[in-house]
Amino acid sequence: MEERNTSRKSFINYLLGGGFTLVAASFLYPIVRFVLPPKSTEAEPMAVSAGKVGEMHLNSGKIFKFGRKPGLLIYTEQGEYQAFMATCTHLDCIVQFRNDSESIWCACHNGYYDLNGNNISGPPPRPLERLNVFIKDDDIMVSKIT
Amino acid sequence: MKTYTTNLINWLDKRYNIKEIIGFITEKKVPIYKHTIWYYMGGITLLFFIIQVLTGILLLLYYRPTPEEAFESVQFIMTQVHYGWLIRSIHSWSANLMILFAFIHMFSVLLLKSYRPPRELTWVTGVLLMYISLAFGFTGYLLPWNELSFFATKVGTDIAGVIPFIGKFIIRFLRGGEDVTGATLTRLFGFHVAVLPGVIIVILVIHLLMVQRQGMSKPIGLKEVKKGMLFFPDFFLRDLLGWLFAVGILAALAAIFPWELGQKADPFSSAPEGIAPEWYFLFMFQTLKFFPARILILDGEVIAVFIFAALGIFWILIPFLDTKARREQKSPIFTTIGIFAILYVGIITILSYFVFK
Amino acid sequence: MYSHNLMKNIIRHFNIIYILFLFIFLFPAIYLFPQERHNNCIECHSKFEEEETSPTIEFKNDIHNTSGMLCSDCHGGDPEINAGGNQELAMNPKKGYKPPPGHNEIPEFCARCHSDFEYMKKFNPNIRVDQYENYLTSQHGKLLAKGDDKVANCVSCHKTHGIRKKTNPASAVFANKIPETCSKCHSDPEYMKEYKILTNQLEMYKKSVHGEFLLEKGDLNAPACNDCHGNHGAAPPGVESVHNVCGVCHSGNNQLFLKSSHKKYFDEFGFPECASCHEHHLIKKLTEESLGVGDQSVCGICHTQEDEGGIIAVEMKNIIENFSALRDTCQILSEEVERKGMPVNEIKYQMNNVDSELLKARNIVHSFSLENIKQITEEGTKLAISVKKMANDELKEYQIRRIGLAVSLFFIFLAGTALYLKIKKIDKKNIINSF
Repeated sequence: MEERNTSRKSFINYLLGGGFTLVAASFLYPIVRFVLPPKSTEAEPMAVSAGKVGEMHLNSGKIFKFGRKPGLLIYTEQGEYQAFMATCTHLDCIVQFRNDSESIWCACHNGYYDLNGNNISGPPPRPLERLNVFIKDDDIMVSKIT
Repeated sequence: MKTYTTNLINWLDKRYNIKEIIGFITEKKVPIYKHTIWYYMGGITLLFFIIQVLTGILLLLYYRPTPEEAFESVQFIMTQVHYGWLIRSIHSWSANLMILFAFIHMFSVLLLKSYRPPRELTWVTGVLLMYISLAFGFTGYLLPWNELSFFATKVGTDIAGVIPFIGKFIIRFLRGGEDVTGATLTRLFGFHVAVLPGVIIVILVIHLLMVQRQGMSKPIGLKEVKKGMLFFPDFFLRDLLGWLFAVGILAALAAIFPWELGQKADPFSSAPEGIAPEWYFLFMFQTLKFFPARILILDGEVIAVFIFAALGIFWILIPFLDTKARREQKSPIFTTIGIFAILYVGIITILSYFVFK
Repeated sequence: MYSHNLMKNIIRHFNIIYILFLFIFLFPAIYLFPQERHNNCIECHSKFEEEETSPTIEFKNDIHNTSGMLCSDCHGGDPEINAGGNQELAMNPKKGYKPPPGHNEIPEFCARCHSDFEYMKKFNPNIRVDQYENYLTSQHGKLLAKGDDKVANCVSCHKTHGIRKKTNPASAVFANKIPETCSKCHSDPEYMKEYKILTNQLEMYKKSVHGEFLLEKGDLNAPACNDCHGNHGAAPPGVESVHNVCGVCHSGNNQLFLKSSHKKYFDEFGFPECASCHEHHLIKKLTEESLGVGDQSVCGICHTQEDEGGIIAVEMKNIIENFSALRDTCQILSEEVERKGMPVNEIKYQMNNVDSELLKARNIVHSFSLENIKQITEEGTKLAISVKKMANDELKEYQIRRIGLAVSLFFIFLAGTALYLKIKKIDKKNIINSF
């Protein structure tokens, strides 16, 4: 009787110790993983890099990823950078830079914007949303205008 | 092993007289009767508070309190950091569960009249802890800088503005300016991670020491409870079992229903539909709407805010006002007040979700 | 109080004598400027014109009235003479009065001013004055010249005395009113009987993508009748100029079509280019079903399963259908990812790109080149496969989270059971019955 009682007691104690160790481990594991920094160490900031300085030709444009949506970066003939949200204000098609007419063109319904993003012909009802461009080190950074 | 422990205790006892404390704890007893279950609610609230502190510190490793980066950093935590989704989700869920259990704890104490002498100050500190918890909820809500919380904070701080004379000042104080901006975020962040934790820890320690010193209260008329258990280890282990259960529920909630982040706040956009404060503010928010715009010559909202402030003070003073309970007599008036408060808060909160929307 | 101070100030600043001078010398000068002209026409005519559509009532909101013109500016006569009911005196031919123009005379009547830039530029230096010229080339104008008095003239669309600017939403020629305005005649089978043309244009237009945008979604940029047929030179475009008309907006597709082999054959066989497949007025939105040679196919109108074109059409159909199906799978997966609360931003961004690739693939059909379609869909497919992988990875991660939860819950259960047993055990010793 005495022996059975002791073995039962020690079983419970082992179970208790083991159980709590496992619980503690299952709590500690995510915490340790959390504390170790992930591969990409920077939180995605408000500004994104749209490209490197010197990688674009004069009078050209390129599409870059601005958050969930595409943006359009233009390097004008005068050597200025301009950036806009690349979704057409008509039906959300993606616009492109036309170096032949130095304008922004939407292929879907032949809409044109000038290099300030103003709608100049075709169906677009509003100017393109303008973005802020600044150079940081070697990167052409683009951010929302607030 | 045993000798080491005894030696340590002896060493400490010589200096701090701890054998007295140990003796006190080992002899402490908890009564057993049909309402014993309510004694666990405070402990569970405490557990969620501890989880809040731990996960809060973890989130601080990656969170950035600026309008440019707040939303992005939370997004980063949730998508890039290992188990970031879990930690943030636990922080949000545990916050809500903590408030919920604080409410349950508070109302059970109210209905059992455990606030009567000699425990008046335990109640006072408890209600203060409740208010600070609500302040935690309010200041933490804005931190992810998403659309819903942005506009809810705007509306919430606006309410303070109706207070005569000092309303404008309070708004400016809370917002750090005329409007909800980055300055507000910095400010509320400061309150959330520095000011409020400092205050709550002091009051919490006092609250817990009082509970431990005085032991569990027995309700009026149940003076003659025969059955009881030792606080340590019986009650303590039961508490632990409750904690395990609560942690299990919390983990399941956090993993199965991860807290959403929503859309980034855009101060220039118009307010989206369905702006609502956190659920524990809904009953106040809704009550404000019930008040007519004008009552006689006074602004309805001002009156409502004053009534809430008065009720808040009344709530703290209950142990001193309930003279019947002070004399160990049944006090049906305060039972009625308690039941009415539970029903009002409960019904209005539920209706806010299903009817008033 | 305020005005009192003001007076004081005035008196202080302006010497009273100076003010007197002003009165004496400048007051008569007011008479040198034209006064508001009397319009006795309205005064008399309104006595017997009570209906809403009467000229004197309608004219109140007329652009000519608001520009300061009088009845006499079009009709002649003398509005300033107080004729006291004497019609001959007011409507005096010697003072330029002409009886109202007949149906066939109206275009010329309006053109007296509207084709005179020297006159019109006073009102708007950028105004057009080519309407009459255009009108003469229109089907309406040509028939009118032949003496047909049923065809539309200026007032049929612009109204007679209630003429408003085309930018005024109340105008009958405001962008979204045009289909209704044209249909007054063109949808009336009885009226159009002798011209032997269809009268279902409005019905078709309302179902078209253009009509949907203009009339239902309120997009005033969407084309109405006039945008394809011309404003004043209204005429059906010739078979070979359809591509130009559609190409005004759909320039990309137009370019593809012009370079394609179909352009030549369509013109040879007299097919109306774009309208051969999309139909006129209905402007059908074609789907993958329209490719191939099946029942709903438009390729099948000319091609059969056996000929080379038919074989290509079937292959085009298969390629785009496959891509489209893959895109739908991605969409369903991404929705599932979102429903399960997993991060979906990157997937959604790429999904947009897949959608635009699909759009491109559908557009490139206008080149009728299998190679082009293959090239576009290949890129799109690659993208879609990567989206599919991302979505599946997220769903896998979701499963892993579930398993992790189950494991830790099991541990909690284990520890809880042990704790329960422990409590049971020590309770035996520690429960006190006399408290």
